[in-house]
Amino acid sequence: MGFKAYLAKRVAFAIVTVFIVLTVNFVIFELMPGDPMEVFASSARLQSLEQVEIVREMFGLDQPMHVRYIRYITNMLTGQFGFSYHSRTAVSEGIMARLLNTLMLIGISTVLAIAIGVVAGVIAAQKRGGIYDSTSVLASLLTYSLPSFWIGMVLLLIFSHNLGWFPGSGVVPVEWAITPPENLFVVIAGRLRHLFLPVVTLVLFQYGGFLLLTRATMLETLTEDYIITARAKGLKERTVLFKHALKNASLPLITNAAITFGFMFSGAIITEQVFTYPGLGYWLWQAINFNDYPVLQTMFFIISLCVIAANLIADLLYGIIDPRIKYG
Amino acid sequence: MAAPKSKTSFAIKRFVNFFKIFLTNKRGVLGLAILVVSSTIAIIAPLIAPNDPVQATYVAGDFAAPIWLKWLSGGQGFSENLQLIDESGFPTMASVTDDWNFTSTSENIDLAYEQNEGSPLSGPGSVEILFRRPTGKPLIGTAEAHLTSKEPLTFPYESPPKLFICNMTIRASGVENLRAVQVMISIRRVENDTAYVVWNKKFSSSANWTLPTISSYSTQMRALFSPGGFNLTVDPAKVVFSQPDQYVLDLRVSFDDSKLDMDEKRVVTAVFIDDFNIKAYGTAYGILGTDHWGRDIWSQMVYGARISLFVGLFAAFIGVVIGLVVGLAAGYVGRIADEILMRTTDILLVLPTLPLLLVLIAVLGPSLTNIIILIGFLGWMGFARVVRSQVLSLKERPFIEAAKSVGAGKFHIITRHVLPNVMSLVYVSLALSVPTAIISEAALSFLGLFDPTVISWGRMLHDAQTIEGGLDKWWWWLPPGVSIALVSVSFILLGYAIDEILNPKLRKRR
Repeated sequence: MGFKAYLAKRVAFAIVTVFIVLTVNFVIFELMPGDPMEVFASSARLQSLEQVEIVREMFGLDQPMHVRYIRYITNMLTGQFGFSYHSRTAVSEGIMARLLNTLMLIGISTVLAIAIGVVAGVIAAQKRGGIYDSTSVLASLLTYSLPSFWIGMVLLLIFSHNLGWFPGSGVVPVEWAITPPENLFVVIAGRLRHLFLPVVTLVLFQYGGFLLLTRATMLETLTEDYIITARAKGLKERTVLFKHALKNASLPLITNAAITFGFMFSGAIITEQVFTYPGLGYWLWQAINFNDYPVLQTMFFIISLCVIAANLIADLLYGIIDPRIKYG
Repeated sequence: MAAPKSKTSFAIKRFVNFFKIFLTNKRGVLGLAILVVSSTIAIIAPLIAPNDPVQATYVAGDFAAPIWLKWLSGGQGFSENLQLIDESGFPTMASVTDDWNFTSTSENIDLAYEQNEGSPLSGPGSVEILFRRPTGKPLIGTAEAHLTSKEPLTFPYESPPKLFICNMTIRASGVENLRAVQVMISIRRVENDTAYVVWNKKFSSSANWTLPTISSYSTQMRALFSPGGFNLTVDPAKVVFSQPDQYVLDLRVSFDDSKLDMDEKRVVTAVFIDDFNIKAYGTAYGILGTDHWGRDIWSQMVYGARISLFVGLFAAFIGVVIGLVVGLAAGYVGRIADEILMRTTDILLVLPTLPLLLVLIAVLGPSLTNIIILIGFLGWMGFARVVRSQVLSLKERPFIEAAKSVGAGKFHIITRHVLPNVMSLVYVSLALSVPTAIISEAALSFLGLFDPTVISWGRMLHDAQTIEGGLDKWWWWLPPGVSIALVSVSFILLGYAIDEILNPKLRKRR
């Protein structure tokens, strides 16, 4: 199978997965106990049965299931996510208002987690068996097992409540709502201060995986003959490690990086809740508390979409970076 | 077929052998040790937890600190639970006269003991203070009676209690307009001779047994302590018990006798008192203090171990069983079954687990059963793949060929020849799925999707994080987080150790 066929297969798989997600989403809310009209009728204070029937028709609830299913799928694919029960505004607007916050959090965290994890992992592999190696492995196991929300709470207590170095909630200082700053550096600094603790939490949650993976692949690579050659040539140790060894050990790291980016969404739900960071994750949490089903449904769809995309990219990168791989 | 007896002894021998090798694995032993400790705690939870973790509210003041914090700070700033008055039921007349002084301003008032009647809580037997006027002429005024505690009550703590609650059941009879009865409870501080009125009620008509709310948190008591009754931020507990002192309790009953009756009938007005308790709720309690409803955190920790292990083991079991069945079917049956099962597995593997769990549980309801089943149903995919690849390689081995050639059926081969050879993977996967399930449950609880009837470690973290001021109470949320990590790590260590022993070849390949 050539690269093109492989590509087509992966894309087809991704599309099928998107449809499965949509179907799951549809079925979950279809199976939900209780008639949605009953809930709506009581909250909207509908007076008569005729009114109930009119509303039922308006929402298309009188249609058979397959018609609603097709309508639902077209709506979701065209970005018509409906309206939030709680705020009564369009879900798509809510997503737009929060997407940037979450992407910034997840993006910075992923990059930092990879950078720290990879560098620490390379050093651990090089100093295999030493104190640095065993402590870093132990530390990453520990931060991996500690619940991320617990780590967040510890950071919040120490650095926000007790020391007051970092704010404990929000994305920008509260006073900016009245007097927005003009200087770009002030804006960036303010945002970074608010991002710091959530990012640290997510990095602590994720870097361990990278450290262990890098260490494992590097240990394998460092025994290869060309590494001995490179060292014999008299190359600097840093060049040997990062240019020669890491390059060849990076394949599993890249797939893992893409998957991690998707995984970060789950971490963001929790982290944003701890730090009251108004992103998509915090919104999802609010939606759970308000039983705001349209938001829940859409958030699950969007997060799944991101994860599916990340996986697809990982698959493609895999093929591009290492041409030796046989697809199939 | 070997005899059942020798079969059992072989199994025992094999297990003993395995255990001997296991004991040489340091990390495995460490994991097992943590696990033994935590499961022992979970099993004997009712013995070591002094209180019900969910139902027993106000075992001390809310947000009480652990008792050892008091020693760290040198005894300053904390008080403990203290029963100031404990008169449950007044069983005999002696129980009244031994502890209480009775004085009155009128000879018409008497202290009596009512043998036949008492509060519904404690049964017959109550104190009766009654006003009798035989002459028929009204006093046009009031007559007072005092019940005063004989022994001064000692409050030994430097710091005031979180709150105090006075429990009393009371009944008034023969009361009518202009013959009202006023009952007032006051606590008199010996040192500065100040009396603080904590309860004051006028009965304008007869009343059956009632249990009034006499709490320092109640607005009624706060109103009594604030000038003009408007400043409701006053804390009576801090005013009355501001420092160590001795106190005298005083119950005043005043009878109004101003009604001019035409027929000048004989008047008997009576107040019955029963179950008289006053308790000061401490700001320090137990091993880990109390939560926002005054529930014992240590008990929650202990019972939380039960929930975490229960959820972890059951969910892991469900996941492993599904994974095993899917893996065996896909691997051994092959072809279309394999294709369908593996594509399903791939798709489920891509779906983000936590958001899916959140949506499902938000819709289906957060009962413990739902949580366990859903975590189990979303946690089998990785294991199914491992089993499948193992089965694929087993399928080509000679002993399977041999079984086939003697005419063994598929079911027989799977259960008798393939299954025993993947069991080592089952043990490992079981151990490694438990931490995932435990952390998933904790994350769900933390996000508010907890079973309201139980308090898990995740829910403790949720409460501490969402309740105002909970974050500063680090003794509330540090232990559950550490426990989640410890139990998870113990299973991971155990899983790795079993893996090293049972699958030495696989281990090297990973």
